Amino acid sequence: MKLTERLTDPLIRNNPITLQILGICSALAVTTSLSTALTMSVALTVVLGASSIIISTIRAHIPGSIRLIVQITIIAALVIVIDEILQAFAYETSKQLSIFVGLIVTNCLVLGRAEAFAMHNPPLPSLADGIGNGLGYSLILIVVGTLRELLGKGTLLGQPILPTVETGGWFEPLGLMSLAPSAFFILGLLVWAIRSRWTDQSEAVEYRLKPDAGRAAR
Amino acid sequence: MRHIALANPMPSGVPLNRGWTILHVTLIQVAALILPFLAALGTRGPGVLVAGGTAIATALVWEAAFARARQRAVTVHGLTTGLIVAVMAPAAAEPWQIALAVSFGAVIAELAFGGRGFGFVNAGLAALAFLLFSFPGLTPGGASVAVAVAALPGGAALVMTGLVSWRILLATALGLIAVASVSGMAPDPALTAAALVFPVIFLVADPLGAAVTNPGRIAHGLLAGGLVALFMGSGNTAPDPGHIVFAALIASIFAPLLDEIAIRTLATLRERRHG
Repeated sequence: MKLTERLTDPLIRNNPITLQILGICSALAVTTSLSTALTMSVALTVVLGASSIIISTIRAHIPGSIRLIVQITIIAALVIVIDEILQAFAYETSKQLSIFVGLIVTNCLVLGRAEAFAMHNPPLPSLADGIGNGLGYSLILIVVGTLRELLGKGTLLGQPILPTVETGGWFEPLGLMSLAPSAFFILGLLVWAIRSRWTDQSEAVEYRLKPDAGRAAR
Repeated sequence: MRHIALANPMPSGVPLNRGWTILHVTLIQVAALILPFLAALGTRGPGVLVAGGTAIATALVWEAAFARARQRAVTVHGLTTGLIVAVMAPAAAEPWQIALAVSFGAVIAELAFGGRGFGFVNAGLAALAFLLFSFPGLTPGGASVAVAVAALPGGAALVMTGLVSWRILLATALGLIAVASVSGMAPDPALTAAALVFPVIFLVADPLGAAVTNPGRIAHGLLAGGLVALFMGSGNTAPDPGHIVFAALIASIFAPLLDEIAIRTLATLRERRHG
């Protein structure tokens, strides 16, 4: 697999959120507005890229029995740095993201790539894999965040896009979009759309109705 | 468990109904819904007709689109979704809000699962929940004495045909009374009954969203009724349709679990008895 493929493959064809269903918790929590989704995307991509290259570099020296502890220590150190930087330079966003930057440590996506890829591959492919997966995660977060902020508040990055009824416009914000369930619905619809277009991503059907049962169900 | 119950919509033990299909269920429900719809029309005026027309048309268009995409025969189950939404929808809801809510209910709660009988939440219930969550300013309708009285004949017919379980109806009332009396609330009996009759018959006890085992049905009703009292709080004399919709939604989500618990408990008891 070429380096560019490592980067682009996780965007849609092997997306960590819509295909592997990883990182759902933070994808639900931080997508109420586009700015938090963007910040979280950058934070996660940086952590994922940096942790991949560090873990991959020292992979031959990590004892197998304590590899998870070592991986988490490295990831946690990176997350603390990111968290401190956010608190120093983007305090408001940091407050909105609350614990979710800290929780990147436990994000299945980060540990998953470290364990599944960086532990077995040289630094450069690992870096590409980490960044690629970070970008795949970011893509979904940005799509969901855009939809939720636009439909829930009529704004994008805090700038009014759709004039709301309150300000004399025509757009009535959908309150549901500011609540967590809407992220589930949007993610579900996204997964549905992606798997309709790329049918090889669909899972095997667990059971089918007999043709007769289908007729009776009408 | 649920699939067995749904492939044959009549739970075992109910007389008649052999050879019924899901279409019969829909037709009987539509017949039962016509009177409450007319009562809502009479009390709230032609706005209900607009809401009903919009809701039914939206539900049927989605149903036809999905039938086409899946190469199945076109069905008309959306009629019940539309009528329930028309009776319960807030009077101030605009047609586009109704259309959006019904699209959500019909697609996400029903058609995405494969159509009527395959989802686990009534599509009308999902649509109403969407409407009330998304547009919190709307005050829900449906709590009129006329609608409640008009829902009684249809409700009786549904109970007699086995589509609605009397256990759920009774347990819902008991659950509400129990929680209300424990927490020292004093709901107005007449107003509460008027607010409850329609949604309990058509949302809480919906045959495709409710529990299907007898112990499960009692637990389902108790849960729904208790939640109505809980959401209502001590400040109100009667529950809002909003309170009932959310209570019905939560009870409906828990119904498969309640059935599962009932079946496992019965199996364990039986095993112990017969070894």
